[in-house]
Amino acid sequence: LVVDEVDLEALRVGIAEVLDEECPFRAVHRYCDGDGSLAMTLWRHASNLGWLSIGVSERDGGLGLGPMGLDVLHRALGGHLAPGPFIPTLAAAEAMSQSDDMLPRTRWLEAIMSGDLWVALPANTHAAPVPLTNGVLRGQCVLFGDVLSRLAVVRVDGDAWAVIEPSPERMSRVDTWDRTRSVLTVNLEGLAPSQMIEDPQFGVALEASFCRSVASDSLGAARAILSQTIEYLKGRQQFGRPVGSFQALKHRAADMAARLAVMEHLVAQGAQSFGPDAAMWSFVAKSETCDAFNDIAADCIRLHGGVGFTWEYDAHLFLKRAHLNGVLAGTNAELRDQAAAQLAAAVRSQRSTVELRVG
Amino acid sequence: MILDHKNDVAAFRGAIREWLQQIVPSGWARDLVRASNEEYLAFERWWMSERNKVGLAVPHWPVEYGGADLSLAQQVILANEIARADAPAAQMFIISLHHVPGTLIPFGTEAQKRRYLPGIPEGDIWCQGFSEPGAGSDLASLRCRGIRDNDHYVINGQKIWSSFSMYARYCILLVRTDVEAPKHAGISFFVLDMQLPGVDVRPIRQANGRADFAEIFLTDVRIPAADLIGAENDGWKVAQATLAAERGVLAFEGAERQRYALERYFSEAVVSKAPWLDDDELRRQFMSIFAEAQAARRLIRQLLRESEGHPLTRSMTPVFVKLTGTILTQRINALKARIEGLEAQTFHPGIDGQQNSAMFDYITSFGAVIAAGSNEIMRNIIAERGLGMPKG
Repeated sequence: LVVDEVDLEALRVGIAEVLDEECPFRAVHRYCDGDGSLAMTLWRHASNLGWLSIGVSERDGGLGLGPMGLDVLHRALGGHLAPGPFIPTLAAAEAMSQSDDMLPRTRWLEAIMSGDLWVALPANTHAAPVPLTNGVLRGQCVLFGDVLSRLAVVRVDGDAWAVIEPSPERMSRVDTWDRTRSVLTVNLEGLAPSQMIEDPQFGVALEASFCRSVASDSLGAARAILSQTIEYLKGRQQFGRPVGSFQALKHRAADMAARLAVMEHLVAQGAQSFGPDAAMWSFVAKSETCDAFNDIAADCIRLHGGVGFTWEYDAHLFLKRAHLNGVLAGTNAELRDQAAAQLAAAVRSQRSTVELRVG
Repeated sequence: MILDHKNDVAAFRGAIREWLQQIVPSGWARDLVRASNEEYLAFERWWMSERNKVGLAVPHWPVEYGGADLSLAQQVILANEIARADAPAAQMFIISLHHVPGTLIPFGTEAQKRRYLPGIPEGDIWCQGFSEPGAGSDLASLRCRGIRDNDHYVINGQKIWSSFSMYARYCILLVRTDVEAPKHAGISFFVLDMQLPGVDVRPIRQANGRADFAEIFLTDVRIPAADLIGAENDGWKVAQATLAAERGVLAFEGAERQRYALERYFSEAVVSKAPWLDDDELRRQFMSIFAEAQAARRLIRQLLRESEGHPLTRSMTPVFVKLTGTILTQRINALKARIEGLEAQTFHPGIDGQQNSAMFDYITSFGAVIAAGSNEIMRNIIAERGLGMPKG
């Protein structure tokens, strides 16, 4: 499934137009300061414009643009610090659509694509599974989503996944440093799953999709804060000249740009890998891109000088998003460990994981 | 003939693969490490002659100068098979194969091309006389002096960091021919016959123990005026062509060699249950590097796509490839040395351009971050031309 570059470019342009108009950074600041309307506005546009159908296959009524289409969307959302549960909702939709299990596809996908259903996922998909006894769940779980998410998918004992519909009383929002997205705790005690997904491919697809979207979000966001910082360095005058003319600062900017040029291709590797190695590439795309985003967001604060440390400027919003991204879908260390195990398994079955078309 | 199949990808690839299987001696790199300078030189010449026998000495050159006019895609297949077979890298011929045609084809006269290009597939080694002790990153400040004397230029000065110049038949040489003009406007470009009287080459021992580059001392060397390339005092422009000579396929070959080496390294570790696989820090660092090496291969493919058919004047991709690729190679070898612990600290000689001991490759990898435009210069270029930051 390699999507036509022309289609992707059209998608890129269309998404950028909407986000430039609807999601400027001052609107994100207002959202972080408590005005929740931006997320609603964006979600309405997303459903009207088909963004919620990008990762859903055509047989399920989606656009069938796959991981490459989702990469375009999440990069743009990250670059605008867009609020809303796009990552968990669209990862769940993509995984349901890829699964051979018909029930979740027929029951939930249409509502997700129409914008009526926000989905939450375990913030750390590598956390311990939820106990399921006598048909009901026990304990609690930390989710990445929104308090308004009516649907969540959690891993239960035995590597199955449960679709749940927790009532609002069961959910409480955690006050996170990153206010552009939400982490919640959900009380699962005595809750009966609405549906069980036994297809083992569902979990594999879900984790890979989650990792790819966090990687794309991180890449888009890192590019945005870097270019904003470079503009600042060109304008800010000290010692009678722009500080961007100092070699020490130029070299930091150049190193960050070079690192992103590499990350661009790692994210593409994740989005264009299919078959047994897709999960491995999505894991390392996530771990490396998140590390890069973290380092870049931090250095961009420093390069802004005093204003970088203010609530009013954007730089801190990026750093906080970077840190949350870093621990989503598993820590970067956990993901590298899993990828190493998958690489070792590929070696044992004498399969190369790095084949590329020549040229 | 291999080249008869060049328009059929599978057959072309198969023919190259078969030829390499027949021709590349097993253990050649190991043997070469212990070779004398004369044996090393003989080996490089042998390798070029074998390539020449099958028409693959200069396959990327135009047919009129003895090449096969291979398309970029065909060159990439050849480079890929050479990397896959771990065949010799033709290190001594890098200037001959790339910089010389990259300069002479656009700027040489027809007579100069006819005189100098045909010797290269026959085994002529060329070196580059650009850097001087006082002119490194600031190349245009070079002081090696050339004074016109009727049909000759008389050259006096010193060049440095000139790889394999002790074996070279010719040198592409930058000389100051006008001391009054602004520094970029007083430089001329020559072909220097290394056998002329007054040329003295003194090898320099490198940090990795080898002596593959040298200083060139020039004392009253008389270069015929016919060996001036381009116009007098127009050498800076000519040198830009030399430095911009298409080397994407070379970068591709290097990255593919690195790919096979990394895969081998990991699978040998898995098979032998190497203890470092259970070391969280080392294993995770390996995965980061493994991931970035794959991204680097894709970045080079982007470079090749961009360079197809038009020169890369504005793209930052070659600069990103140079900066990030050389640093990645350093990180790979530093990690291997750490993985191997005390064992890595036992001295093992090696040979440039091949996979050797971790420490040899690590020490050697410093060359690339400094050579061909230091990485600091790369960062200036990215910041100023790529990111539009003000000159300071």
